[in-house]
Amino acid sequence: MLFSSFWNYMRGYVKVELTGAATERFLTLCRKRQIALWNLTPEACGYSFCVAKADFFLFAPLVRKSRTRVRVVKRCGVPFLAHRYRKRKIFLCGLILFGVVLYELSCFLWHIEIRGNSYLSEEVILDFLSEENASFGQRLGAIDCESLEETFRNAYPEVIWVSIQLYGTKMTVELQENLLLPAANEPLPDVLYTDLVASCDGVITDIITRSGTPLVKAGDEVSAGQILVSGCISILDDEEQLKETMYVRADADITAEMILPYVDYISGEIVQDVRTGQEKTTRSLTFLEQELFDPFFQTSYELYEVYADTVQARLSSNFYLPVFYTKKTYYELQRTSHIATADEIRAIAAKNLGKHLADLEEKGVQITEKHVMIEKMDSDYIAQGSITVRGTIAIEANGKTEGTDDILDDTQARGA
Amino acid sequence: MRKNKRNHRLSYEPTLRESVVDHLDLPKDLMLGDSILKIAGNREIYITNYLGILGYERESILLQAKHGRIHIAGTYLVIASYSGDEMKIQGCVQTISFEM
Repeated sequence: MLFSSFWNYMRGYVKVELTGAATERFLTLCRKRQIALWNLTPEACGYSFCVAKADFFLFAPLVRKSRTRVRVVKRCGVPFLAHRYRKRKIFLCGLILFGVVLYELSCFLWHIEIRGNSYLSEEVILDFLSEENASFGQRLGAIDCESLEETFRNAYPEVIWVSIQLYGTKMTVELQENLLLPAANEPLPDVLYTDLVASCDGVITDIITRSGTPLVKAGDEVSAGQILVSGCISILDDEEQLKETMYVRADADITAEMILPYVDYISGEIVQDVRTGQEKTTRSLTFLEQELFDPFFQTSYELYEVYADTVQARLSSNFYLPVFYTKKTYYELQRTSHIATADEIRAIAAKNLGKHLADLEEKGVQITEKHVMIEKMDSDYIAQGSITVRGTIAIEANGKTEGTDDILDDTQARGA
Repeated sequence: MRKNKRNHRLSYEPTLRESVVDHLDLPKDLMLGDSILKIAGNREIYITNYLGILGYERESILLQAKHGRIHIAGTYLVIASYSGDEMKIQGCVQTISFEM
């Protein structure tokens, strides 16, 4: 229905009033000549209907035969519009120019959508695309999605699957990252074996070794850098003599209680920026890199914060244009400062400590104890103390166990 | 003459042509020239195989078919499209009757 209306409008049609004695005969003749009519409605002295412009010129013999009269009431459609505006040449040129610009803009990439990333930030992916000449404003024909996917996978091995597609002027980058840690027996490049060492001082509470030789047990105190699990496995024979030495990548779950120092400096003067309630809004239009802004807009505020809301223009869901509409709101601020009271200092210290503890918990450690004191230092304050946490202490390090240098030398000699 | 006779019979008895078409399961609109009416609720009627318009008002439309007339009664009736093959009637249709 919509298509036929559009088609009729494109080819032009007229609304006709039919009067006379044998109007029904005229309609029957139209049917026999395969002339299509629509919106046929009865009027006081006949009928009115719409007919295509080309078919209207076939009416002359039918009108004679049926002794009726037709009168054009209304002309609609592109051919009549073109005839009416035939002298407006600049308008026609503008229309053609608009079509050409629109076509040219449809040949470039104007929007990039990234989905499925968690470790890799959008900035990193956009930088990669920019380096590969597949970024904002690049010609679509010059972008090879398949080779781009391959380069992406090679550049970021943690990405196990990536799909780069072009839809109109939009590029979608869908990826899946390997969120699991690398397998324990997966060989590290250029490393013969690895040890697990303590990242800081602490007391071991639990140790489960999967591969390697454990050098500590639960309850042992360890210091930072101490080897906890060696990647060197000694195999003894029946007489408990060293038969063979194997070198593996040490893997274990080691939990320890660690005491972490905590220091937080708090200024004795509280400076706050408070909104006064005054605000100003301006709108701007950005085409490519050129920003068209309101030349009469001025912010008389000495101190302010700005919130910008940007929307990209698009003709359809996949046809984005390099046109951005930005609405900026300036909020006036007033800076106030006063000497902090004891309660305020306590509240700030508690807030900062709570944030620090939340950060620690996010890293997967369990907080068992915390001792933090607030002391005054001249006009400022310092909150310091210690936080006892229970969590993973081991970090992977290249093998350093004694005697392995000989093995490494042997391996290199054999390789040579 | 035969057609008139048949139309005035009290009981319906198919002609030989009708029986053959019926038994061979052939399309009746092509073989017998019957009109086809497709009705969408009481809002739209699509009619094919009609011969012409005999009368057209807002409340009733009278069409000539090969085997009689089709009378459509209703309110706000409009012929939305009219071509050699098909006619589309829109409006609030109340009754459709066939006059032999």
